[in-house]
Amino acid sequence: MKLVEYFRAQIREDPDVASAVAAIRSLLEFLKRDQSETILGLRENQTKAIQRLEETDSSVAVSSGGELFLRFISLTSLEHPDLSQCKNVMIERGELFLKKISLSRGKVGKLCHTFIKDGAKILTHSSSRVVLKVLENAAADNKRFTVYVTESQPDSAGKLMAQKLHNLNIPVTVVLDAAVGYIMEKVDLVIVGAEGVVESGGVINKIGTYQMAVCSKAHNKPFYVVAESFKFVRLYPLNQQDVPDRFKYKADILKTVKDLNQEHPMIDYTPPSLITLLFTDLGVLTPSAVSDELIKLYL
Amino acid sequence: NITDSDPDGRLTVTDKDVKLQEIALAKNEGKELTKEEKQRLRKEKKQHKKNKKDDKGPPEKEKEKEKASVPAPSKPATQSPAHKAPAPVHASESAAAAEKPAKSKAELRAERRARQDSERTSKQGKKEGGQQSASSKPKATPNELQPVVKRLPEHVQVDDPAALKKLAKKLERQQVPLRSDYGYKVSLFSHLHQYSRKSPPTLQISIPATVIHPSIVRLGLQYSQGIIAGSNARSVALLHTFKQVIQDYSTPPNEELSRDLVNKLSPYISFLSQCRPLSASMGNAIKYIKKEISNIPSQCKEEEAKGKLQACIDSYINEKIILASEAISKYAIEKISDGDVILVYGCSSLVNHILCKAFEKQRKFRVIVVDSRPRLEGREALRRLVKKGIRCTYVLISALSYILPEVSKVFLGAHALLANGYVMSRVGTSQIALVAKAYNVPVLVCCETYKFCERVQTDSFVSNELDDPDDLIVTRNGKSHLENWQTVKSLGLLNLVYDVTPPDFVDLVITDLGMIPCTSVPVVLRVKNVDQ
Repeated sequence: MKLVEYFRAQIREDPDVASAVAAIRSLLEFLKRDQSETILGLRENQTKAIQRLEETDSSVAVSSGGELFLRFISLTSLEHPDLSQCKNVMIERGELFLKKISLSRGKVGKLCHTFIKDGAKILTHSSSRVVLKVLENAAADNKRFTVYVTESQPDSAGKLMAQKLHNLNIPVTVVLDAAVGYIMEKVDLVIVGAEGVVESGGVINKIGTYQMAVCSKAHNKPFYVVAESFKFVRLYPLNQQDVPDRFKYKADILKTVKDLNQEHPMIDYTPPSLITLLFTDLGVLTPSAVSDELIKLYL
Repeated sequence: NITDSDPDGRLTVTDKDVKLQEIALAKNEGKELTKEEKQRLRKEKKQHKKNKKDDKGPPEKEKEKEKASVPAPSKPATQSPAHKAPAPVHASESAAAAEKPAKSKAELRAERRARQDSERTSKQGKKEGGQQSASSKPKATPNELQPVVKRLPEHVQVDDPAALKKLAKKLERQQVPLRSDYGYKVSLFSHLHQYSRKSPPTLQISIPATVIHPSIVRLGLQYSQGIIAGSNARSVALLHTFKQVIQDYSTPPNEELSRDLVNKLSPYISFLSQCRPLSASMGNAIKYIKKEISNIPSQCKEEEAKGKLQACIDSYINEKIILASEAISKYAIEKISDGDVILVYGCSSLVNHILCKAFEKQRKFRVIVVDSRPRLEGREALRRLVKKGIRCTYVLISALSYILPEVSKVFLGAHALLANGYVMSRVGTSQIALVAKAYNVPVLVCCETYKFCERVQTDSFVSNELDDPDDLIVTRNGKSHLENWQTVKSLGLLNLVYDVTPPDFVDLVITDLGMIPCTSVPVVLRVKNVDQ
């Protein structure tokens, strides 16, 4: 259980870090402290650790980040006769992976802020650290823009986002979730973050994103998604129902509640036909290029 | 004459290409180059190679080495390396090629002008360092300007008499009977063959067949009569027949197996395509076999080589068809949830396999089988599924919009997946995909990777297959309407076999490599080519 404590400690110390990055840091620390005698043992322990972390924080990013981490560290020649040497190689690669993904948010911010023109009105949903970074970069570039944030019930994360933007001196307005259709004609573009990017090029994000996407399509406004590459996951949902239950609800609810039909899902799925562009640290992608990148990452 | 120099006194630049083209022209016209001329040509080739190496070689040197009789003014040194006009040789060649002197001169003149234009622009753009690339640029442009006619496959050029004549000649050479078209063809599809089932090409083969192996004759008959239908079945039958052919093959003396066997296979393939046009899967299988045969090392003994080839064919069938369908079933079963109502169209061996496997895995679902005339393949699918114990409903395609509100998923098979993401499948498939999209029902296409082909098509007209029009004649209550359709001059019967579905209507493609969106087919093709 030290792993879970370490994970929670990481998130507490650095609230700005993505939960997946914290998860990967914990996994790396776990690997360093692991006492197994065989490589297979190491990998099994890692897989179990990932499962335990998923139980703590049921977001898609933790699951995808963990899997990518495991693939990255083991996708190298582990033919050394000495186990400690192999372990060192794996730890080295783990550090490399961690360094790469810590920089990914910065890369995304740099790519995306050029799409925000002077005088733009931006609509965003709930609280996303990546979107915050993008808006930060745009503000640093001396661009003038206003932001509308949805309240995003049930956890009112939107108000948190509004506070952060206020601290950056960006004019921000909080709107009701139900007011998305009303405000859509005023805005120029929509930028949202993502919890997971799926194989079809669609995204899984806080509930309410799908609505926003449908509205923006109806008004012909561009709908941009910003996500780091470790959020790419090997799922392919066909519709809302097809998203596995373990992602839809918070981890503690999954454990305690019997009848999930009474619970409100925390995420929804936005199909690729509604998304204009995806900004990732691998570049600016159209939804159909996501599958290409996924094949490169996973195969 | 090609030795004419330009008004601004710049040298006419002949490229190696032009020279080679001239040589080719002369060769084609059957003129024997005299020994002297051959020697001259060889010298000039060497010269050209040398010229390329020293960029700043003074033009004068080249001139002297070349035929001095050409009064070629020297080029200023800033120009890209001057390529000499091997004029006397060409002059003699063009004199020798007396049959088409005008054409060669005019062509050469046009090329010369184009090359000079390109050289002028390349000169302006590039500096000295770019001289090497500038010399290669003029090479590229003449090629572009020469009309590069991409060869259209014969089977979409039926209304072109020249193409037909070529085909007839080729078949005569291979001693394969030519099948004649039957009946009036609808004008939009007059570029495709239309054969009658009552006159298979096997009628015209003498017994015993000397050129065509008897199992190929049997296979051809089975194709043309529709006894073997469905792209997987056809490919597997083809591969098994090829195994038989290889078994019975014996290398003639002074020949190599790797080359002779490929030549032996060509008339068989022509014969089979006369019986029924080849499918994309069969095309890929044939390409694979030909590659394997030509990769047989020459030291290999005949028995060993034959055994190797048979093993190759077996492993191809096993990997690409049987194991692929297992992998696809595994992925597809994840997408089938309890309480699903699944719609299938026609009879796809792969989709039937998936549904049977899902039923074995205790998934609760029911199936709606949609069928269409004249093939009525859905009845076969219905028979197989009901035998397994799956609850099925059967409708004709005209009732599609009536039952679609009940459906939760559509599973379709494919004949081929084209490089631009379009799905080629039995006629009626695109209709089902279109209506399903209108009702927001997810459409899943299941296709093995060996059916992916490099072709690009956006409509169903360019390349298709016309089946026997007599199939549309229906007999009811003892009366056969349309029986005498040929007597009515303005009536044409159209029996299309395939149609093409755009990728926007398809939500997911399940292949043995995994689940991919329809737009990722070129990625898979690229990955496959890298593997090979």
